[in-house]
Amino acid sequence: MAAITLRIQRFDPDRDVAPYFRDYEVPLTRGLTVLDALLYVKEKIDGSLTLRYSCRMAICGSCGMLINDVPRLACHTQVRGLETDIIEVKPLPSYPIVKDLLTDFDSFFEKHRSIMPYTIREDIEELETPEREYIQKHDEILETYHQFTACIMCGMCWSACPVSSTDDEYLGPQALTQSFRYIADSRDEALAGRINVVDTLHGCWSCHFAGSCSHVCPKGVDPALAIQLLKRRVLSYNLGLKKTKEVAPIAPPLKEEEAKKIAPKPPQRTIKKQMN
Amino acid sequence: MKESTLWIIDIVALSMLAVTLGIHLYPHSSVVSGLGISEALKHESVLVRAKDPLYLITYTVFLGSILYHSMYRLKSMISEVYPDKRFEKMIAYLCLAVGLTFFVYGFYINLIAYLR
Repeated sequence: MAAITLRIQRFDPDRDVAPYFRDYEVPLTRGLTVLDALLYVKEKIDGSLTLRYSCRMAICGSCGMLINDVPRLACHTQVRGLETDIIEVKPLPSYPIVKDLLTDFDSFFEKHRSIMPYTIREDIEELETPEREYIQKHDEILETYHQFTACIMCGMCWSACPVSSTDDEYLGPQALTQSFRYIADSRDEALAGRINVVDTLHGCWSCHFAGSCSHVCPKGVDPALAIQLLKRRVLSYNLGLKKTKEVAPIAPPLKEEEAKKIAPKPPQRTIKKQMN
Repeated sequence: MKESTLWIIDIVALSMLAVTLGIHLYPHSSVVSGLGISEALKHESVLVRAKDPLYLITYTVFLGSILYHSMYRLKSMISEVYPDKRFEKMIAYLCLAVGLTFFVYGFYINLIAYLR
C-alpha cells in the first residue's frame, strides 16, 4: 500500500525551547483528508499530537492549519489533491501556539466581538421580544451581503493577511467583513456606531488590499471586496453623501384568514391506518 | 480627527502631487518646453523659474502635498509595525512636528528665492 510522509510541526511550550518537525508515515487510502491522516497519527503512532477539529465537513472552521505553506481546513483538503508525497503541516501563523497544531483564537474572537456581530434596532423592546418578521427584498440580500454571511470564523483570512502578521491591533479581514455584513443588512439600525468602530487607525484603512484573505477562504467569501465596500460606505457616510440607510420595515400583522392560508398543512400520512 | 478624514486628505494630496509634479518636470522635457534637461537645470534658469509666482505657488503646494503624504504614510507604517496604543498619539504628533518643520523650512527657501 502506498504511503505519504506527514511532516508535522511539534511544539510543547512546557518542554520545548523552539518548534521542530517530526515525520510520520501514513498509508494512503482513497479519499484520505489531511485531518484523517493527522487522526491516524494521533490514534496509531503518537497520542500526544494536539490539534483542534470537530465537524469534519468544513462547517465548524476548527481545523484550520498551514498545509504545504497555505492556510487550509484539514478536513477539506484531500491528500491526493496536494500531489506530493511529503505534506508539511504547521499551525496557523499570526496566532500564539498553545501546543503543536493548536492555536489560541482569543484575540481573533475578541476582535469579532468588538464589531458587534448582531442585529441592533432602535426599538429595544421590539428587538428583545420580536413578534413579526422584517420585510427584506430577495435581490437586496443577494446583491449586498449574502456571501459575507457564509463566514465560519475559521480564522484563515487573518493568518494569511500580511497586515495582521505585524499589527496585532488590526481588526482583520474577518471582523471587517462582518462589520460590513451588518452595515449592509437593512434590518440593522446601528450605522453610526458601527462606522465609529471601523473608522480607526487599525480599522478598515489599514487594509493594503493584498487579497490573500479572499484567496484562502474555504467558503468562497471575498473579505477583500467587503473591506473595499466598507471603505466606500465609511467615506460616503463621513462626507455626508449617505448618512442614513433604508431600514427594513416590520411586516404588518396578518388577518386570521390570511394566516390560515399561509400556514403550512401537515404532511400526508405515509403509513395507512390499521383497520381492525 | 477621524482616520477617514486623514485618508481623504491623503488622496487629495496625492492628486495635487501628480499635478504639481507634472509642472515641476515640465521644464525638463525638451519635447514639451523646448529647454531640455541640461538647460533646465542650469543655475540661471532655476533662478528665473524661482522668480515666477506660478512656481512659488506650485512648489508650495508640491511641498505641502509630499510632506503630508510621506508623514501620514510613515505614521501608518510605524503604527503597523509597532502597534502600541501608548505611543500612537506621540508618533502622530512627532510626524506632524517633523512635517511642519520641513514645510516651514522649505517654504522659507522658496520665498527667499522668489524675493531675491
